[in-house]
Amino acid sequence: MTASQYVRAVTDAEAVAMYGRRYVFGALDQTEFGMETRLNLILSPRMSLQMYLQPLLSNGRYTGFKEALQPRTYDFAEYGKDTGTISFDAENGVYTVYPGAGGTGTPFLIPNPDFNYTSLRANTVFRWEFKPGSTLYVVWTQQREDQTSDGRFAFNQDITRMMRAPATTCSWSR
Amino acid sequence: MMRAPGFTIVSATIEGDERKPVVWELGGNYQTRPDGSWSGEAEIGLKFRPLPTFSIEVGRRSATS
Repeated sequence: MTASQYVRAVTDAEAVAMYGRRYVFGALDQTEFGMETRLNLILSPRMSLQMYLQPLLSNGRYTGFKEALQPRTYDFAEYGKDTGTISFDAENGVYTVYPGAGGTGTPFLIPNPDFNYTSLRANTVFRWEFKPGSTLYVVWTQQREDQTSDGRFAFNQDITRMMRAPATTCSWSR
Repeated sequence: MMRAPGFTIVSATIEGDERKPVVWELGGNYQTRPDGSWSGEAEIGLKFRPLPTFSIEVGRRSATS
């Protein structure tokens, strides 16, 4: 749990102590899973095959949005608890904050910063030194990634989403 | 001299014999910070080398913070 993760800053002339800006933070609960796989095959002193595969799942959920109170301090006021009000519009995925005491002040929005990031990276390199000083490389790379703002860690669902994500594939040789 | 609140970091790793065909590794760390933040990470790795010319390595990492 990261107690105070920076989320965004908004301009507000009423935030006098912070020189006209509100610096918004939140508590971030993050879970990550990765699995690196490498395969090395030396076919001969002049020929080799190397493969690399890395699936990665990373999820984060923010709670307890708050703002910094004074420069050069680590003091915060949590919206809806210490100051102002906060409400979440699930349909549009935004929080609305009225930062002043009792729900007053100029409202601002915080787009839901929760994230569900999945990625798969794969590389394969075939190397052949066909004559001394001359080498042929054949490289195949694929990357898939996908992001939503669900924020919950659901292993099977995230793996499925990762495998269905559109892929970028690149191959070259020289 | 500046005084700053301290972090606590506990970290441990243990691994098998690199010379063997199957090499395993286990590790993890845990951190707490003065603001109440914390994070933990666990790693497990396995390297299989049945021939001097062939190896396959799998490393799994889980982290929460």
